[in-house]
Amino acid sequence: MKKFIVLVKKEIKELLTIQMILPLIIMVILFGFIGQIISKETEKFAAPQPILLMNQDAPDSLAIVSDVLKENNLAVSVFNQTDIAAAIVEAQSKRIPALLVIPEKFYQDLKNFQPQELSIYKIVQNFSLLASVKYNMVDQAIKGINSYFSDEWLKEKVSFIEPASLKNPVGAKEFVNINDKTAEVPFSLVMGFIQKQTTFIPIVLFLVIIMAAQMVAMAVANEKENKTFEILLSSPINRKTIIFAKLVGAGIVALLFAATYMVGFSSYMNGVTGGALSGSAGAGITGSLQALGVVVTPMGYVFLGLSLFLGVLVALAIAIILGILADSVKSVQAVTTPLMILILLPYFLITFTDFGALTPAVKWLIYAIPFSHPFLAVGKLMVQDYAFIGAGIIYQLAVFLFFVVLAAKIFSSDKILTLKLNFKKKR
Amino acid sequence: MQKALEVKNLHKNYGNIQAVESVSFDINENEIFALVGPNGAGKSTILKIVATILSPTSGEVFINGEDIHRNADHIRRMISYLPEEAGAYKNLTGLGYLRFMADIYADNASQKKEYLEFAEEISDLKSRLKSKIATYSKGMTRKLLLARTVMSRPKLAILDEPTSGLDVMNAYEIRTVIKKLAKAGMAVLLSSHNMLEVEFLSDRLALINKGVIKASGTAKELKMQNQAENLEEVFMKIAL
Repeated sequence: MKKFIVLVKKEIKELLTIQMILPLIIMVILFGFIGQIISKETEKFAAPQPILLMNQDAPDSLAIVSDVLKENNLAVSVFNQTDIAAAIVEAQSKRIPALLVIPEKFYQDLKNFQPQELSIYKIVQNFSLLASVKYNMVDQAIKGINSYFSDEWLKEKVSFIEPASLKNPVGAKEFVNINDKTAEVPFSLVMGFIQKQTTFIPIVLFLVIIMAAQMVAMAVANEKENKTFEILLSSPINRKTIIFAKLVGAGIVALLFAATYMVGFSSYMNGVTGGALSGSAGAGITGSLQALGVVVTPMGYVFLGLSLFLGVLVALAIAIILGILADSVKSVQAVTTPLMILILLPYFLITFTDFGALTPAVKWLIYAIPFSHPFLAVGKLMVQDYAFIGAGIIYQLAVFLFFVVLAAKIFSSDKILTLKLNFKKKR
Repeated sequence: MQKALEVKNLHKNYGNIQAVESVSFDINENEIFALVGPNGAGKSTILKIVATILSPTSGEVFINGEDIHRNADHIRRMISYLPEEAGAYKNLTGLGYLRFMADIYADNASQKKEYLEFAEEISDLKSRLKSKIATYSKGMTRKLLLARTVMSRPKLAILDEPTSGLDVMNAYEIRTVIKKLAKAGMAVLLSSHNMLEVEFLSDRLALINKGVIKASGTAKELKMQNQAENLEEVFMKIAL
């Protein structure tokens, strides 16, 4: 046991170098920083957005349009001249994203049931995604103006029916069913909640498995190239102890990295989705989500943690063997490529496709890949399908033991020194 | 007297390639025995088999009278192996590396202390032991590794090309240390393709080519038998 601890300590010291830690810390700070910026920008967009209004019609038009724009969360500034070029310059100088021009006889002609056209000038000063939100708000406001005047027309022509009922005679109550549970809640809110809870878990898992595998394969290849392996193999240590120390050392470092990534991603996600389900909207759907059984329990997190941990361990056990196969440290990238594919395939298929709709052959292929199970567990966690997650964990454990035994066999034989993908230099 | 090492009729094949063929030799306590031959002669393979890293295809190896394949774990406590051009863990300091290896070999704290003191003395790296190995020159790394190899005072030290790639001064210092250790009771099996080094260091030697021992004895005996002025000449006469 003493030798095992000594070896684990050595592994951790070798892996936790300043070159490894520094980029990780920078990444966490950067993610938090980006999250904060996005959060602040989102808050800015929640406030009324400015719009410049030029009226070429009677004052009545200005009052009506201005009120509708304000109802649609726009802050109206009125430009009192009739020169459009001057209005554009004014909007540019005040960083107002849109200019709305009310034409002559606008209100009078509408009263006479003649369709009218407003002119909208969108003043583009950058092409960011968030900036486009401002223009969408203007489009929404135009819809609001249309709705206002169509209501007016309906009140005039079909006064015995409420305009709202006339426009939408059929309403919809939305129910969501998951397994045997049904609740009245919009599907978009359920999806929003699930994505908020789980979006970053597959990303973290993907990064950690790849990083841990590369790390341990690199460590093994490095030991082989530097011949420190030969020194260890000729010393009085059981060879299984060497393998387990490598697994545990890399496992500890991988978990540390996973936790750091989690912190980084969660602070980023909090910034991006911050407050999305807080307040009255959040309180409103909490009951519905509970009724649907879409709740992450502490037990769920334990199962997910186990699945994640075993995923990392399987990757480490395979990476040890791949590290032995590497001809040199430089060839680690090449020998670990099949492992990367085994991680990428389930990640993309489970995250970006409708897994339930895949053919049985593809589904079983995905089930056979041990790294699929943590990705699958994320979804199953929400509906407390612990039997599925548990079966996945048992399968992962079996695969892990298989590769550990295989690694032990290689360590106990000549293959530890002779096994190479480049057979040209066999001796 | 008990032999420190006995190798009997050793064969080693890598697939279809015969790396070692019918090799037999022995080493007494306090003796330095050298395997001399060109690159690819099979020297390193023999050393790795004796170091319990590789298994022989056939043949027997005894260390202090014990079959190395019957009780490899026990054998590994009596031997210590220094591979050719080996490195060390670059993120550790020299002292950190010696501590790590002492922890592996020592049974208790006082033994660890004793091993460390001996290694510090042999390495002669003084305050540089506190520097990271990544900052060491080739000669310093080799001295550190030699100190690590002998720190537990093994019955048999197995040294693969101990001075390979070193400058004259570093090579000389390492040879002097090896001689001193052998005088103090350690048996040494070393490999080299440097005939002058072997003549200076070894008590006895075996000339090996293409996996076969062509001749063995003291340097003086081999030179006399082959009417040669030096070992290089002997090797050229025997090997060709």
